[in-house]
Parts: sequence; structure tokens; C-alpha cells
Amino acid sequence: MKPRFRQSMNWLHTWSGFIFAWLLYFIFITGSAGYFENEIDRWMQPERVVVQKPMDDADILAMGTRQLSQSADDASQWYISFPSSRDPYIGISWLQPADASKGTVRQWLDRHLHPDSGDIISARQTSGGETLYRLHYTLYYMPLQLGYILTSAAAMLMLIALISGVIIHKKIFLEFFTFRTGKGLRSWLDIHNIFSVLPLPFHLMITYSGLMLLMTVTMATVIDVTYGEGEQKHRQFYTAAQAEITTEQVISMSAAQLSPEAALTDAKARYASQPVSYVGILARGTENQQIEVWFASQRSIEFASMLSYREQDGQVVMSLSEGKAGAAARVYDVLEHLHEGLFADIYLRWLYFICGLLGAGMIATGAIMWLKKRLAKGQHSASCALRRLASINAGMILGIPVAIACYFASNRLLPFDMAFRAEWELHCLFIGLLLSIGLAVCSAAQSVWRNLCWLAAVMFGWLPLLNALTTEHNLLVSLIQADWLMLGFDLCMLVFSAAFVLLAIRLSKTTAATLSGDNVTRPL
Amino acid sequence: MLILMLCVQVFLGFYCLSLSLTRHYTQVFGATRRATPLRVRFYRFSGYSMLLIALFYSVSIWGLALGLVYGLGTATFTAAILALLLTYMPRRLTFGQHPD
Repeated sequence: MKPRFRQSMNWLHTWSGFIFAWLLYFIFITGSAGYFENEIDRWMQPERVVVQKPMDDADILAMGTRQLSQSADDASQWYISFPSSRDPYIGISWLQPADASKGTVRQWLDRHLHPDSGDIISARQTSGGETLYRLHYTLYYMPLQLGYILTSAAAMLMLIALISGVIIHKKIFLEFFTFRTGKGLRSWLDIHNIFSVLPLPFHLMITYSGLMLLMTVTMATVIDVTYGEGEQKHRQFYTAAQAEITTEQVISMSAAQLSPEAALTDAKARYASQPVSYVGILARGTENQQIEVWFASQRSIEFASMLSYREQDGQVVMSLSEGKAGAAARVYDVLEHLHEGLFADIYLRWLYFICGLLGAGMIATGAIMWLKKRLAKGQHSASCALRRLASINAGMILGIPVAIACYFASNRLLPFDMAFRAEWELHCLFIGLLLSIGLAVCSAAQSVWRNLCWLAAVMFGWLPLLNALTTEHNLLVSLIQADWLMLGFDLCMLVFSAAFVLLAIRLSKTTAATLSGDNVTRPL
Repeated sequence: MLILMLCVQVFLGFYCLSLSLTRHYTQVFGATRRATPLRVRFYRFSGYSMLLIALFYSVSIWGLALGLVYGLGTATFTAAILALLLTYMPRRLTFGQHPD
């Protein structure tokens, strides 16, 4: 019974892993990049001005409200964001109302302010880090729902592959640290195991929570059955499920005194040690006007805490949100926070990123093994289609990093005020991917990986150069101005480039060795 | 500093555990060496205890939720480094120890 069970798991592992391998690889790479969303944003909007010297919160609030009342007086909601270590800028955002006469649509707009003058900075349009990380569940070029469902299906199969992988791995403890080089398929299996077993807690967490985050899409019928169909009924479900415990208290402030400034002062007195992240003014100009003060809380893996002020019967009522009411919602919150890693400091953020890349490596090595096994089976009779598939696989695995580099490069190269600039950046990403696959298909079988590595090395390596040529930011200037985000990004690109160079050199050595070592004749 | 301390603890834990396995013991100390059963037990025991200490350490500093995240993340990272060291420079891992 036991061996047969294991064998059947083997089959399950192979196929559940392979079916969506490329999609999962794409999800892992773009998702990992998403952990550095803010840092990528900074690089992709070099016009933003970093707040270098500490500023008084009240001054920032005044600056924000002044600018908002000039440019968004008709908006019902305003937010002012305060500088933090990951976002060292002053930002404003507002909900622009739909207005047929002005031709505007209802949407959120956000701008950054110059810390000295308080003026809006005119910055290039960009998709930024946010759209890049959203790619890992929207997949672009398709309806949102389809993207969600495909991602969920891939995550489900990934979870199956993970669990069946643990079952078929006979020596999980014995080979915990084992990596034997130069032994063909054995080495591939070793590295596949290292990529999967060591970050297993991360893999399980990220896959399971990923599935869960999309549960209202994949399990929509459950809501239909319990609450009824239609958006209205579904909203009932969300209100019930996401209900929060809030404590309210009347504070000693007269209603006439209630202003964003007064609310900020009061909130800061309550949370003296925590930095303010946002101030929001909601339902502006109505009698329900409400002022929110958000703090970047350092409480465990919770990300933020919020105080809200409103007027009621001539008094000011302050409410404090204390988390979700339902146990299920609290579990959801924990898993969501773990998945998004917003609480992570720089060390944990890098660990998240590295774990994500290990996951991508796990999928890549899995796909490579799948192909190698099948190619080896029929050395001479290996079908043309299988060879083609192997090339496309190489094009995918190295093409996605190349595509991301293209995305960054397009941000610098597209004309400053081009129409649909942000969309074209994404088009460039996918064009980059297609071109890499094209290159892979056209390359000879033994040089395909090497060629792509060189391509990736060049694409990442020239990004700092491009940055220096097209903007006033370069490595030296960033260092002098203590613009760590810009400097860090440029340095990371150089590190990636160096990694690809090393890989390419290594690959040319091994191909040379195998070609001279044995007399396998391969079609060139 | 706190993080570095955690890394060292987890690394030592995994290091001892890896030495309790014959394959890695011979990698580090030479092909002819075999650890005595007593030594294997010693490595295994100290490895697991070191990992436990690391876990308590991180939970006591960062709290249960965040401490587990730090602990597991660091474990992944250090174990990967150890695996690379064992493959590419195993002789460096003797740390002046004299095998019996």
C-alpha cells in the first residue's frame, strides 16, 4: 500500500507542478518584486522630492490641506500622507468626483508635494511598483475575474504540489542540506529540494494565504447561497464578515474646535511614540464629516491603527478601531498580513524577497527536470515539439526577469508626456518577455541559457546608467544626497546584473566541458 | 545586533544537526572519518537544543507572531547558506575542531 501511495503522489506532484509552472513562476517573480513596491515606485518617479530634514507634522498637514483646497475643493475625501522611512515624501490624494461638464471620472488621484514650497510636483506617469505587484494576481490583458480565477487555480495546484512533494521526498531530514554538484539529474533534484524544503514554511504560508485572499472570488457561490445573489446581498456579507470592534468615547473638545489640526494634536497626544502615517478627511462639507488619523503601528504583525473623530450632538466623538470582531476575520487578517508582509522591516523584507525567489527557483528547477527527464528518455527520438518546449521554457524562466528590466527601462525611455504612458510600460514588459522567448527559440540548444543570461545581465546592468543619463540621479548623487531608496535600487540592479554575468560565464564553461568531454553529437 | 545573534544561534543549531549526518560529517572532516554514535547523539542533541533556544529567543524579543516570522525566515536563510558552504567550502566548517 505504502509504496503505491507514494508512486501515485509522484505522478500528482509532477503534473500539478507542471501544468501551471510558467504562470506560477511569473506569479512568484512579480509577487517577490512586490515586496519592494515603494522602493520601485521611488525609482520609477524620480521627480519625487525626498524630505531630508525632519518636519513638524502640523506644518505638513497645513501644507497638504492648503494644496488640496486649491486643487481638489470639490472632492469628498482627502488624504494627506506623511513622510516615513519607506516613503520619505509628502503626498496628497483625493477622490475626484465624476463631472460630465469637465469630463472627469470618479477616481482616486494622488500627487506629491515639494517639501519646501508645498507645490505639486509634476512627475511622469508610471505604472510603478503597485501595478507590477498586482500583475501577480490580475495577470493583465484579461478580465479581472479571469485573472483571479487563473491565479487561484495555479495556487491550488501549487498547494497540491507542495503537499505531495513533502510526501514523495523520502529523506527530508537526511538530505536537508544536501547539494551534490555535477551529477546531472541528481543535482537538479538536490537543488529543487533545497529550494522547496528550506523555505517550506514560506511556501505553505504564501500559497495558502494567497488562495484565501481570493476566496471571495473563487467561493463566490458560497456567498450566493447564504446571502443571496447580487452586489447588494454580497455587501451584506462583507459588512458582517469584516465587522470591527470599535470603542467610542466623547472627548473634551468642543464641536466648534474640531479641525484636522485639532484632531492631529489630540491623536498625537494619545500615541506619542508612534509616527503619523496619514490624515484623512472624509465626507467633507457634510454634517457627517469625519477626520481619521492613521499611525504606523509597530504592534506585532498588525500594520496600522487608526483614530477617527466626528461630531455628534454638539460633542466630539473619538472612535478607535480594535481589530475585527469575528474570529474568522481575525484569522483572515493574520494570514493577509503575513502574505503582504507590510509589517516587515528591512531584514524581514529581504527574507521575504529571497524566499520568493527561492520559490521561483523551485518552480524553474521543477520545470527543467520535467523536460530533462523526457528529453533524456529518447536521446535521438526526442520530438521536435519537446525541444521547442525546452527552448520556450528557458525563454520563460530568464525572460521574465528580462521583461521586468524592460519595464524599468521603458520608464526612463518613453517620452515624458506620452499618452497612456503607464499602460505602455506594461506593454513593454510583455514585449520584452515575447522577445526573450523569440531569442530562446532562435538560439541553438546548448547556448540558449547562456545567451539569455547575457541578455538579462545587460538589461539589468544598464539601468543605473540609464538612470544617470536620463535623470539627475546617479549613484554618486544619491550617495551624497542620502537618497537611500534610489541608491539601493541602482545597486540592486548592478548586483542582479553581476549575478547573471557569473551565471553566464559558468554556463559557457560547463557547455564547453560537456562538449569536449563526451562525444554526444547534437544538432547545432 | 539582535538579528545577528539570532542568525548565529540558528546557524549553530543547523551546523550541529548537519554534523550529526554521516554525509556532512565526512564532507567536513574528511572521507575516512566516521562520527562515533555518542558524538552523533551529542551533535543531534545540541543542534535541536540550539534551535529551540533560538526559537525562544526570537519569541521573547519580538513576541509570538513576529518572533515566529523572524525565526522561520532566519532558518531558511541560514540553512541555505550552510547548504552552500557544505557544498563549496566544507573544509572551512571545521572551526578548529579535532575529530576523534
